[in-house]
Amino acid sequence: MRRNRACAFGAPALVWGLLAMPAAAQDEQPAVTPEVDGTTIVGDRDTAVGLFVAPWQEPSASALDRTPGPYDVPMQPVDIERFRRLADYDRVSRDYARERWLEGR
Amino acid sequence: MSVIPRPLRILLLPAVLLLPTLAPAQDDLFSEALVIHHQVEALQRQNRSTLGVYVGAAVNDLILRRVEVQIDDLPVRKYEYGSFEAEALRRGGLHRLLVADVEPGAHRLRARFFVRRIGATPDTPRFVLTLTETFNKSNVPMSLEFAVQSGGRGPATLRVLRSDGRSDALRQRVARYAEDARVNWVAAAEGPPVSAIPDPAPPSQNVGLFNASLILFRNGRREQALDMLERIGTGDDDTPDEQLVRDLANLTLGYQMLRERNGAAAKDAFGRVRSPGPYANPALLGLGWAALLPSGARARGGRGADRLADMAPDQADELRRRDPLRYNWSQGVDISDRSLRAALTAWNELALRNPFDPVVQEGMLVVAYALQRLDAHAQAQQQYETTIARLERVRTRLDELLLELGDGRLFERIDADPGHGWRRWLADFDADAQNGYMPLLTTDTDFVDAIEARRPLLFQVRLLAQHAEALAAMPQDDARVRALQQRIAELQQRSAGPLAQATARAGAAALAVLQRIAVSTDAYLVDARFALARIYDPPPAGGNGAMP
Repeated sequence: MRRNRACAFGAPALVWGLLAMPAAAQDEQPAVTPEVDGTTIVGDRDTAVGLFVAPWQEPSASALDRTPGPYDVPMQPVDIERFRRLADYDRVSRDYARERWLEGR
Repeated sequence: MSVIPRPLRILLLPAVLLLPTLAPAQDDLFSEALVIHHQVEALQRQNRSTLGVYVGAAVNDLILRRVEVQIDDLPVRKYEYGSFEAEALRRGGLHRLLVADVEPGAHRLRARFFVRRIGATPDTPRFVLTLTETFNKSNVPMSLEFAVQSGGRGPATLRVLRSDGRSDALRQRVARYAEDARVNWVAAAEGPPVSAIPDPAPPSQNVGLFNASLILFRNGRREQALDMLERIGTGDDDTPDEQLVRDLANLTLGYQMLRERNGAAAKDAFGRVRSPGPYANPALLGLGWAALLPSGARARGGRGADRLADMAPDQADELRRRDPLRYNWSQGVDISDRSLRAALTAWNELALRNPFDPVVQEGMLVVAYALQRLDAHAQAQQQYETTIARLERVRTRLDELLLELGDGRLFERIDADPGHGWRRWLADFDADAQNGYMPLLTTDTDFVDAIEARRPLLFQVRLLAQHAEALAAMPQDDARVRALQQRIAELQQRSAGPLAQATARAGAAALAVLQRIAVSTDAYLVDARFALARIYDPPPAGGNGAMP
């Protein structure tokens, strides 16, 4: 929340800074750092910078919420043959782990 | 943006379009390949002086694990038997270990067989049976059969039985071995047809009962459904099928009890699920939630139990947002520090398991939530940071796997012959993957179906390639050789398409699983980063119960 407010204050400062720059260059006078509350944005001159300013709004609780219970057991019938095949895979996987365990002893 | 790499998207399209026509075409091709196979074998018997080496171990109290056989100074042939193969040997089957061209004359045979007692523990000694013999080979095909024989109370012994060529009895035992080892396509190639081999075990009746209980639930007959699940879940049959369906029944029962906010009953059901096992992780997650719910007289409708339901939707959303424990089952329930610590016992165990499993990912986050709830903020922060690091590693590995799947490297590695029977079940594949993506693939029915449908095609293509090679070594002026070569070339061409389709189908199934893991990993990464940000963001002055 505070970060967004700071951006809102910082935007006019940035615009002011950009407008002031050519004048400062023409007069060849040292740049004056504006004493304005807000955020100092430091960027790479070679990189294009875009700034989006959005109006502040209170966060909606439901917008941050997600459906509770990402895991739940599916109440679906199982196919006997497919289930049996899974049991085979599971059995061999366990036996393999056991065999490797026994082998090390 | 799609997670599917572009090459894979192109590859998957024909599989989806042509899938319904795959099975009948596959049967025809396989029959043709078998006819050619038998004709090439007949020709080989006339042209070559082969030696077949077979392994048998029909003993009740022993299990053959590994063999090493060497003829003269040829390379040692090693083979390790998987679960079903070792069982097939015990049931009288015969494994064809090798077929080699051996010149007539005297030869030396050396063998080492590694054997265990059934139900071995780490203290049970392993037997190594060794044998060195010489044998004379004539100019006709010959078979050697190693036979492990039980020594009763004494040591087991290893003998070699000699016979000429490949008798029908020998072929039948090889076919029987293949069928018991769940490689029916090899059994078919061995012919003559194997008959009257009983099914190793009838399908579990409890799978049918489990399905019936779900129908009862759907029809509103809750009490009967719960009774049925309880009966299946407390059974004592120890066959693998029964154990698995018992785990599933207990898991289903446990989560139903969570929905009904009955913590004690849920805990009982989850406690009966085997660990490790395919349902162990969700059971551990549920066990933690069960510890947070009231039990006994407070179990249903107790204080706080329905607080969430009584709230206005906005209030409920606000509570969920502020409460790190997001599940319906715990929302609005007064949770004591003691029950949180009990839940953490289960969740801490879960959080250390396979980070590819979405349930474990949830477990990693829920540990941090519980620590925050206990005001252990430094530990919670550490847990979030660890979770983010682990999930980022999972995401990186998933990206690599998606690339491997797209360019075919994954199936190339799966198809490689490692010289043992575990690969048939992918049990050995990617040793580190056994604690990674592989358990999620081998518990996905679509992937398992696709990979099983692909195996006969792969066997057929390899058989044809093997015969093409054998025919190339035979006299090329023989018209029969040339005719067979032509038929093999034609069948190879026709088999390539269906194999590519089957591979694409298996690839699509694997992709769906990997994508599900990727989506889950991304979601939990966002959750963990957001939770960490909330820790760094102090509440506004005068805030009411915001996250610290």
